[in-house]
Amino acid sequence: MKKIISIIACCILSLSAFAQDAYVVWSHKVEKVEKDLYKVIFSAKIKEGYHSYSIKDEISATEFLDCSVTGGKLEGEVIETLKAIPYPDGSLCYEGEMEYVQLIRLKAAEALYSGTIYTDACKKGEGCHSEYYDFEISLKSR
Amino acid sequence: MKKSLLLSVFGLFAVLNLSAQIPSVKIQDINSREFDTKDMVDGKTPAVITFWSVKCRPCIAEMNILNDCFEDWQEEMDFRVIAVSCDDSRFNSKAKSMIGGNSWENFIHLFDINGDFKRAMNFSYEPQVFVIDPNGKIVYSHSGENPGIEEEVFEALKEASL
Repeated sequence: MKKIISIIACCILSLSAFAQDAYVVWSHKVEKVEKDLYKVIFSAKIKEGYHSYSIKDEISATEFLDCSVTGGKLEGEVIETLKAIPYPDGSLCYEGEMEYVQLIRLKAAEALYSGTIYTDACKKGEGCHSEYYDFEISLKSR
Repeated sequence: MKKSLLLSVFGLFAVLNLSAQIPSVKIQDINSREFDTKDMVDGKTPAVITFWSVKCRPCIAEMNILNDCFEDWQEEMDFRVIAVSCDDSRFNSKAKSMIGGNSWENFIHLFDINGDFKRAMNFSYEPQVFVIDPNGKIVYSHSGENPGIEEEVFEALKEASL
């Protein structure tokens, strides 16, 4: 009986080793810039040993997809606030963290900013993992 | 003792993975028609199944390596390269345009838009390469970047076509 339990426990342990943590963890905060103008700051923590790509990278760029604002409008494009690391293969990467900002102009008392951030998390010698982060951010005039 | 037991369990998983068959999953062909992945098995020729996505640098490099080797290898044996795009619908048109742009026309192109086939094949990293024998048995598998991929794939294809 003990043997059976040990074998089952080993199998469960082995399976859990295959389980994946998130490679890029996103969070956001909203700051008021001026009357009706807000900035949404997206911060990403990149798993140790991995890198992700700048929105300016030619091939593997992080992308903001299907973005829309109900009750407002996007003011300009997404910008990145940290400095990407140029890699020898010509790519522009981030290690540890990355940060992006989008300005939103409110046209009503309340707005809903939604979209998806696509990013690749890669590790030298292992390969890449594609991630999609769906967001829905409520903005209230204050 | 514990270490050897764990190694045995890992080894068992590896053996199970390599002796596995291609599952039946509905994906799309280049003309957006339904394709059942069990039809990758033709009973005559081995195949390289390579999973890629438009933003994956090592995947693109690997596709180019396989493309460069394709004609030379064809002189030695009959085989197919089946390239499966893992991109979702938002990147599907870009994936199709990259096929022509990179001259990957030698390959059979399939599109796993919902990620069902990727899940069924149980891997998370790209690039991912499998070699199957004419009966669909997986004889080689590699996940992630591999600078010596062409030698390993060539050997696996030769073995699979015997």
